[in-house]
Amino acid sequence: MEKPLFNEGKKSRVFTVDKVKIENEKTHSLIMKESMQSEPGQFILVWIPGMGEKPFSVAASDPLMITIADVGKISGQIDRYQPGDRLWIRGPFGQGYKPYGENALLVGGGYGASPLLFLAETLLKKDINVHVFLGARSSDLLILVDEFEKLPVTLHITTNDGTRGIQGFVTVPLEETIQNLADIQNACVYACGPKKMLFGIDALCERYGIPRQLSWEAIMRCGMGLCGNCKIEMPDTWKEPADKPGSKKAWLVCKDGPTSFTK
Amino acid sequence: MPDFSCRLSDQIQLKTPIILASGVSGNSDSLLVRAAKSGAAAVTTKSCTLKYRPGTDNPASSDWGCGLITNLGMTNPGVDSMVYLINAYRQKAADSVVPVIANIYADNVEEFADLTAKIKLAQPDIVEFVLPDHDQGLIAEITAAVRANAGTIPISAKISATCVAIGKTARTAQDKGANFITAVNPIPGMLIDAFAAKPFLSLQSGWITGPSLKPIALKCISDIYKEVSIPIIGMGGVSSGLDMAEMMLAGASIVGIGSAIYYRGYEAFTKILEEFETFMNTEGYNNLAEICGKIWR
Repeated sequence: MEKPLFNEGKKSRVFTVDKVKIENEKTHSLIMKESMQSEPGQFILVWIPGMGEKPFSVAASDPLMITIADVGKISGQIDRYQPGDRLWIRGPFGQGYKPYGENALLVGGGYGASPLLFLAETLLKKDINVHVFLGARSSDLLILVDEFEKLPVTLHITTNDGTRGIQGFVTVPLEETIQNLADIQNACVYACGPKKMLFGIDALCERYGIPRQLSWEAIMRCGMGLCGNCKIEMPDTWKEPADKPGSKKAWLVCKDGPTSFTK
Repeated sequence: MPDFSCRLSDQIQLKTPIILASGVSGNSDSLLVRAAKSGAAAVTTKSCTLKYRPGTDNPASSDWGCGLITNLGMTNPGVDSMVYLINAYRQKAADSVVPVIANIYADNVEEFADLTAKIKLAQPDIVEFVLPDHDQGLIAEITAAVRANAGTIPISAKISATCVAIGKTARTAQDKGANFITAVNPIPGMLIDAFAAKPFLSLQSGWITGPSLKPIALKCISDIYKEVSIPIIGMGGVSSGLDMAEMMLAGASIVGIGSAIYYRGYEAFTKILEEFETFMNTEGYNNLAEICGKIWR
């Protein structure tokens, strides 16, 4: 085959919607006809020509699936997409989750659950035991529950208002499960959700000395590690790698992350 | 090991000839600290204007295969916040602090004068100002206005690759008191998605940086080197030690990097410098003076 003149792999390309799946009143998933090789925890940028571009987690890679909550201009627009409609996607970007140990504890806060289904499937293929903890303010904000119920995982659900599962925060069943682990060093917590929740989970994990991989959210602009818009400060517990001096106080979610590691 | 320290002027001594160019990480004090700790011998803030500019919607940039295209819509916190940011950078960097170059951008002579007087409060090590592309009269007036308002702070005129009569422009800036020339500012360009039948960036066009800018920058720096006697801060698509050597051979005294951080991470500073050092050693150069502008000797 003729060698391409230059590498256009990083540019946006056309994807076509194959199926639309309703998750809840405000959330649905688009399953594309095409696939995109990617790891759970990586993100993609979805462009609606003339409207704008927004980052989303990869919810499945083959075929590519994205889970969208109807919040904001772009998401509201994608909300109306039907089979046969086209959208433009580039990626995958960033560092995804790295499977580790024998027991995996997956924690999703609200829409933060969107990369965890893909992660659970990946971990199960590696014969890792999977516990899933889904938390939301209310039952109508939980996503992907039906999908997780179909998998051989232990599912824990919490809502702040008690409309489904245990009333309270997701950290309660998480802590109980950590306490019952036979070998903490051979387990890992994988979390995705709002910053405050991740700080809470990080502190909890630090108390028990359990490894964790946290996937951070931020408002992204360039997505290429240049503009600095998605810069965050990492928790005190996070150890700055020797080859990335200064990154603890200026960690780029798009390039250093979105996943941070202790293991 | 070759001697890498470079004396840009009586006031400014850099430990190596590689610095952070304007536009990358420059809207954040902690990212400037990260660049300094990663090996930048000086850091440059993002272009700041008199008033805060919020910037544009996404998409604001893309890798298009032979380089990058970016248009963030001049997003910056405004000069007053930039003064605060520079001070915060110095405080947070502590022992790792390196000289800071404050980049300013205005639409007319009066604004440039005002901006220079305001940014001076942060006592940057260099004030870098972006010159217009043509009109030698305006180029002279702007340079004189920045010079008059900068006090004892050295100033550097930043020239765009699209500048008409680039050598002459640099000469005008030197004659009006510029201490250095920064070259180049990138060239405008556009990405169009054929299937969407629309421009890709939200602002339609943007600035082309990365590898595709390098040959253009080398020609510009050559043209400037032949016209001026002041040091040139060279930039435009440098992403390896050999790129750096080429830019110095064309006439740059030091080299700035930006898009290389996308291609190689913040480690780009140390990696590029190591590659440059290997080149200097194998080719038998003893110091930077030997390589600077060598193609013209």
